[in-house]
Amino acid sequence: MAQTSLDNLYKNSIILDHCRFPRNSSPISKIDFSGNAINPFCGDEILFELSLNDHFCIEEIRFEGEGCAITLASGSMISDHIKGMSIEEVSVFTEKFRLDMQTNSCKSFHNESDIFVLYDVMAFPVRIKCVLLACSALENLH
Amino acid sequence: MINIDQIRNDFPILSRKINGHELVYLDNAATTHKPRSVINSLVDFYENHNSNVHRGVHTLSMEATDKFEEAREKISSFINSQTSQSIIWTRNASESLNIISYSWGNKNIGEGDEILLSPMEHHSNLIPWQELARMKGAKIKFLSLNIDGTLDLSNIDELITQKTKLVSIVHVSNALGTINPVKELCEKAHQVGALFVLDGAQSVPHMSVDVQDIGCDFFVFSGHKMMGPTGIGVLYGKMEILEEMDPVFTGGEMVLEVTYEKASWADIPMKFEAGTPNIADSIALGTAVDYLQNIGMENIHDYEKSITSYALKKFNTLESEGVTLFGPKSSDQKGAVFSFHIPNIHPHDLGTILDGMGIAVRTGHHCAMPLIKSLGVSATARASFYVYNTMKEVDTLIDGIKSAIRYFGDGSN
Ligand SMILES: Cc1ncc(COP(=O)(O)O)c(C=O)c1O
Repeated sequence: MAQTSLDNLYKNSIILDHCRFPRNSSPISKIDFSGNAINPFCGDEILFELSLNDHFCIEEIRFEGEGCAITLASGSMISDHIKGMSIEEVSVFTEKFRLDMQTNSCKSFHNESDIFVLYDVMAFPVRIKCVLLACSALENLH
Repeated sequence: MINIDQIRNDFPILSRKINGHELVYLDNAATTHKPRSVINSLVDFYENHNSNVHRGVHTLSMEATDKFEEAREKISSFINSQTSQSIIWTRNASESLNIISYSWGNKNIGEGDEILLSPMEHHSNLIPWQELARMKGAKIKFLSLNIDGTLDLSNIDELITQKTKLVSIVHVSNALGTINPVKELCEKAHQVGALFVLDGAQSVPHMSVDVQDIGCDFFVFSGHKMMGPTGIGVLYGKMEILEEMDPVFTGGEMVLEVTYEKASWADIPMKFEAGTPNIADSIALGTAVDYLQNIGMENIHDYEKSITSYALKKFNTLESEGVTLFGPKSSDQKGAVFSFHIPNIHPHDLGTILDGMGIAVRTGHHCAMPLIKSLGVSATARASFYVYNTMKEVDTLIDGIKSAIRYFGDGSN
């Protein structure tokens, strides 16, 4: 873990920006689904609330988090990324992204949203769970 | 006086580079490094004396038994126990506390009885009592805490009453560094006929401990926090109490006479040591005690006190940057453990940044979740020192914290 990868991680203005100014943090008009997850080792917590439109796609989304910069940035980025998806598409996404992060085999996501910068966290294996807490919260949607 | 350079030379791992930097190891409250003599002692056992103990007339078995029992003697005199029979080998402090709870607690705690703890207990000295209280319908009470992280004893006489059957307290807090007035607490417990259990996991590695002087009924600690191997710990108990206790584990080694119907127990300490013990690690823990005594526990304590004073001064300079240091602010009341919080930087992010500079600190709740919550934070960063750490490493830590603050502040280095 050289200083350069550390620089990638924290000096990456995209991560710090999401951490300081989380997207989608305002209350939404109705809540059709919600899901949360807690990391028992550190107490970090993430909550998603979302509403669906007539085509059963995410219309509004709210994200709330408590934790480290990686956890917060990941929650914020993912909340942007999944807007407009159906619940089925969300679960396809979490499965794919989780696999990417855990196996380091492929990077399925590119410039379509900010989440591609989260791949930098793979250089810090103990912090991958911080990225994936948001996926766990989405897997708990009900 | 101690020679730090010489001490550091005894620890092979201290010459490791971490992320291109010299290792600054400040996670000693979690576990400590091992001097070469302890590592060699493990190798020597397996290469030259390996055998089971108490079971054979052949030479190796006798050698192993002698070394194993000699280690028990070393531990015994290290904490000034009346007899080495009072020293029971366990895996760690947690197992020792569980044995007290399952064995003594099961027999002696009943409905309505009270167990008194401090609010700064490690989960290991909290959950075994919670479980016992739940099973028996007993009640757990907690001492109060002053703002500075010391115990508030002003209401102690309301808390220790005729209902109190057991008082169990941490000697030195792993989360705040607080050194507790254990002799006074022990006396209070005995006044109402309660037993006094002392969790020495963070005290016995750093200061001289005399169980007879303190008067505690039980004393527990872990080898790995005092330069010994993992997987070996100690339960000290007063003989008259151990005599009355039943074993928690049964099987080989712990019996006197066995028929197909029943068994009678071996003498203490064997009664509590079912099965083949952790022979090599016990012996190596004895070697760790030799190493510590060679430096001298008073010397270790004095040196660490000077580190504490220096680090307290240094942390003071960080106050203007918003850094909060938890726990007592005087080296008389505090071991070299520094739990702190920086606004807008989560401890895990700080931990990762410091690791990039070769500095190992612990981040999280330090197995004291209720305490950390009561401080108003979900986690802290903790730097904990040992006798092989230097004043320069205090500076490195403080510089590291400062540059992390700049990192998160405006992104500059
Ligand atoms: C004060 C205190 N008590 C008990 C323990 C438990 O020690 P172990 O995990 O070795 O059983 C620790 C270790 O973190 C501790 O710091």
